[in-house]
Amino acid sequence: MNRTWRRGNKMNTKYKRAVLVCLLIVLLLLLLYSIQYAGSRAVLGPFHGYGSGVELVVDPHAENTLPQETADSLEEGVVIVGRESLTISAGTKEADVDFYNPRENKQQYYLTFELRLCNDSGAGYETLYTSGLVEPGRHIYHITLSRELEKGEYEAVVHVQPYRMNAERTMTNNVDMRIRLFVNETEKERVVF
Amino acid sequence: MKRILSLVLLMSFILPGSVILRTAGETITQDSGESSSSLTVDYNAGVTYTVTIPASVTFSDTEKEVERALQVSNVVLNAGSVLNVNLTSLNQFKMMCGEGYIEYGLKINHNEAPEGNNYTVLTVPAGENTGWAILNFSTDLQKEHALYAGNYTDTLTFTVVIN
Repeated sequence: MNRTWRRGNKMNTKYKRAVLVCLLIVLLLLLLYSIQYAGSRAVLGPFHGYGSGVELVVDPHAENTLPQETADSLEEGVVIVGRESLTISAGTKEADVDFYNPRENKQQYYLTFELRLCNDSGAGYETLYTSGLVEPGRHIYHITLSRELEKGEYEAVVHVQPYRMNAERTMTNNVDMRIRLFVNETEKERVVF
Repeated sequence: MKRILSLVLLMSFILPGSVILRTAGETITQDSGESSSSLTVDYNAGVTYTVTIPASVTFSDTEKEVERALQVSNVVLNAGSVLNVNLTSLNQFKMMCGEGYIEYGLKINHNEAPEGNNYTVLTVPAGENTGWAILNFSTDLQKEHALYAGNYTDTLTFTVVIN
């Protein structure tokens, strides 16, 4: 009788231990899941909108730096991206560049790019390359120059002329970007414009 | 048995606490005495900018003053450099139609531009991401030199120079 009770008690203890170990494992799994879940989502406060039940409205106190009319004129402006230098290879007419018409110009303005080499006097220039019309969102990556250049550093200008895509292809105001043109013996480096 | 029970209880108190730490964005450091390895993250930011120019300025009999904005944004320059935008007119601030012309004037940020044909209208020093200028164009549409009927135009060139 005593032996049977002891055996029963021993079985009971083993059973409890097994349950507790299982509980511990479940707890650990829960912890791991929670950490992963919390780590993958930003913790949002009550006013962060999404899922918080608070309606997001336009803040009337947000100010425009520019007067409204002037800001509107920016909307109609031509957007041009520039850099300060361009590196190409010596002894070849082929050059890799990135002449880019930003998407912001939508379908309104197409751009032409002209690479001009400044004369030593700074008064005149020699045109090395002229592109056709580049539509918004498009790039020109490869150009062929009018002549090869010797190794060195040159003053140059990237002349960007926008056009309205009406029937007359009207020219708008334009931009000259003064750059340093590096002509290297080695392989060229691609530079965005 | 009691040890296991207390361990489970202890874990159930500690674990949610560690989750809160994690969600609050705190850095959890593991004081395990292990050696750490470092990772160098490099990015070579080239000099770049985006310029937005007024496409055109149009006068009419009813609109003799026009305000336009020039903006430079996303400016990344070498330390100590300055980006200047200069403005020149193809016809010395005259709208041309053949040999006939109509003059117009320029104000830069509401200040009268001096005599000349090459103005620095905007300067953005290194460290500043953006800059803008307000350009006011005006004409009294005096037609004493407007010899011909037709469209009188001029072209403005914005020259970006980094010094």
